[in-house]
Amino acid sequence: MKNRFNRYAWPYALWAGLIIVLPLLVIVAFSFTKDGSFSLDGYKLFFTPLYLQVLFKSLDLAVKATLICLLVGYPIALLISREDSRRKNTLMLLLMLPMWINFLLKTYAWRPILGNTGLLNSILEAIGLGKVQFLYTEGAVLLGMVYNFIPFMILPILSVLDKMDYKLIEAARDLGADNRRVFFKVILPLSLPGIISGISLVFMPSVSTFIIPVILGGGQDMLIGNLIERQFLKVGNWNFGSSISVILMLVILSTMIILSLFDREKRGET
Amino acid sequence: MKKKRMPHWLVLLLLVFLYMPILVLITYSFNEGRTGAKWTGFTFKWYIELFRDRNILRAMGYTVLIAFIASTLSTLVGTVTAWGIRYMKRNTSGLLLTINDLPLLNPDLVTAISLMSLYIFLKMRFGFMTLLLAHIMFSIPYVIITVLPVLRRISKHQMEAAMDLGARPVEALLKVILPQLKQSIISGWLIAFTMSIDDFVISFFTTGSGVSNISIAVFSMARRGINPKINALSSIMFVAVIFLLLIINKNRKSRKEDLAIEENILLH
Amino acid sequence: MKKNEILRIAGLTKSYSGQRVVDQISLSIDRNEFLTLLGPSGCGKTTTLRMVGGFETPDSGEIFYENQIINAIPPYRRNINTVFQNYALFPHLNVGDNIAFGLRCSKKQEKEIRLKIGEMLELVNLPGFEKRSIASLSGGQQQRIAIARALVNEPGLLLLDEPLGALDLKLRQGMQNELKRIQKQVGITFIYVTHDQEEALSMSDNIAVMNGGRIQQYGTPVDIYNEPENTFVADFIGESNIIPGIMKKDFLVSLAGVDFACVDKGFRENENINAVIRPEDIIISSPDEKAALRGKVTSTIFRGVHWEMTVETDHTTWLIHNTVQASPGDNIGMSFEPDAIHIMRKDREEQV
Repeated sequence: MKNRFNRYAWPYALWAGLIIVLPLLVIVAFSFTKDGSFSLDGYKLFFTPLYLQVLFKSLDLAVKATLICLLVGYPIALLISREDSRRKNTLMLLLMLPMWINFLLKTYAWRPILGNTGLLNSILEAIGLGKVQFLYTEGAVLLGMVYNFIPFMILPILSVLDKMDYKLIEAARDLGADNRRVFFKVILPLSLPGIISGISLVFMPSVSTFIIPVILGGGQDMLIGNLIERQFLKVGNWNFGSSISVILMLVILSTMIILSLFDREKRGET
Repeated sequence: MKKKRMPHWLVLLLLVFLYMPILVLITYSFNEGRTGAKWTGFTFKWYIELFRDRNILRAMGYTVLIAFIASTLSTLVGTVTAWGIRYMKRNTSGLLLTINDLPLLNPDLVTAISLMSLYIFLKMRFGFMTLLLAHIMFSIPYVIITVLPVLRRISKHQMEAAMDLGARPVEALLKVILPQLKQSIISGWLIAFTMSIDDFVISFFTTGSGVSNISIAVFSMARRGINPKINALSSIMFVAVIFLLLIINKNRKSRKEDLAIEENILLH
Repeated sequence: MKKNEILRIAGLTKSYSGQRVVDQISLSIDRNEFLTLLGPSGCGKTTTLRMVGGFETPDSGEIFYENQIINAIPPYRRNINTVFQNYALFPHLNVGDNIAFGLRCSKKQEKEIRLKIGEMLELVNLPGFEKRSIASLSGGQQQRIAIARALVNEPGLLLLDEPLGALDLKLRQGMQNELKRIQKQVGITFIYVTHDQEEALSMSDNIAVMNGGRIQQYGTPVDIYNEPENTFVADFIGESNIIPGIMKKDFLVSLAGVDFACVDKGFRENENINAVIRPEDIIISSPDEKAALRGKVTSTIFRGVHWEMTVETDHTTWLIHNTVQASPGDNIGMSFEPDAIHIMRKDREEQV
């Protein structure tokens, strides 16, 4: 009887092979081709100062965004985890609500605020300070990343803190630890899986986004996501575009591997 | 000893940070003036213009249609597949589940262009079908990771017990397994629906011949500058989302299960 | 075929991934019999049970129920019901609906169903539990509902797969009595699977001891306990001392260098044999000439019912159960009655 049922998964397995695995193989194939034959030109072109700079800027911004989300998000998660059950649920709901709102609209929402004739500048003018260029800067892109992704940092950490056994903290106190020690030696290490999740959930979309640079960054080819988009949709150089994509995938893969080294628990889970 | 004090100021600050832009947009959607910084008067005109905009209405129509078809098909396929996975050997199922994870773990952009490349490679015409296929592609994994854990918790002996007592296999499925899966199947559908409505990147790269969705429409408008119709659209969507979530929460047996399912997706 | 026979299995065999899990099992079971398949994990007892229930297909062999071959009949059409190891109660239905499940599948009238639910709950001593949820039941209660759910369909044969495994000791003993009572009251044949030999000995009319996919011995509890046919059975049932020796001639055996009178015969002269002596049958005395064997106690553990002592003699280590305590370091004498020695052939031994 067992054997009859596992056939139910085969249709999807076939579909998955065609629509999930095959496309990725196509990209890899494209990345190593030029005019129909094998070529490393795509990769060679990428490893030039012009394009490497784009990669580094993307990494730079993504790391900054992740750090901000972590340094702001962790304390907030901690504070929320200390609330009582009903309030905690309400706060979690409030935190999740924005995630269901359209990404584009959320990002776009900063334009009226950051613009030259926007809210912030109107306030600055009213106080007597001059206008500041907020929009179309790297800062705006960074803000967009943090704004969109900070719930993805807070919620996993909160989830881990929530499930934490408070007996461990009691035990540590019982053994003479003060608050600082309790935090650094007990709470922080135990919440590590949540931190790892949070980091990957913020870093990945940040490093690969192309929407935020367009809407808040002014549409210049600032980041690697924009580069890929341009190659595919405007320039039409799919081979180069694929090479860049493969490099992006490698960046993400390496990040995941590095992160999983810190998260022994997750390895056990999988 | 717990006083009813306010949540910590940092938490409140974050909530303000998260909601301010949206509330600003909603406020400006009622503003007479275009640029929005100066309040020139209360008006509904942007809403009216929004509903007169054929492009936007068409985009909305496509969005809902695609979301509906994709999530329904994905829920059917995903549930049946989850059933099959349950009875597979761990090695094979592990492989399938890893592949299943790829669309969830890969950045949107990579998935989008890989699909686009496939379509180009197969010389397909970009349009409704390519878009729909893409949405089905990324929806089914969500259904599987929602239904499978619940399915795994149902003992294999239950099917056997049902048949032992006289139920044919189909009867056993309908009377014993499905009632226990109902909650997760509905969740799976809702998650797939939401992901579909919200999608931009994958849709952007896999659509063609005038088929668009809300996100693509907004993107085109936003690229060209500030447009108050977007503000109006935001308000409507915001209210719609709140409404939806309130309905979902009222119908749920336990909110914890709800949050757990969403966490499951996040942590995947 | 015997007149009173309800189930017969002949030459049943099943393999998984090349491994023979059930190897040529044949059994005949009478009406109202309580048969236990007893053996360690992996011996094939559960697989055999599942084949009778219809959840596994035998690779070869036949299953006859009421003298009809039922190999090809699916579980939902066999007049046999099963009580599963973890009860497999349906959590989304209440107690009454769980019990009624089988009746509703055969489209019985609601009035009749309600009556039967009541009867069953009375039978298992849980009256009034119809509306209770499964989650609110204790282990023992779930157990009884599982039995009620199976019995309400009036099967000719009830299969029970280690039903008492999840219960604590006191509860288990209570349930053993309950099960026996229910079986006699309803008048139904039980095939019971367990690895717990005490359970098997206390409940069964007959026991089939299994290992390695084969039946090692079939008989009544008393026979199996007193006269194990090979080392495996001797070792698995109760505690025993298994001592190699030589059957000098009928009624005379040489063990550990000493001759003993015994009650077995029919062996070749000077045949190599194994003797089984139960720890509770060994008599302790002072280590003088009157004692058959002399040894030194190496460990003593209090077991409540008796003291358990390990004793070393020149050739062997012995296990003794006695209400008299001997402490480690003591020198003692040991002897036993002739009928306490049970002789087994060496060739029939299975590799344990």
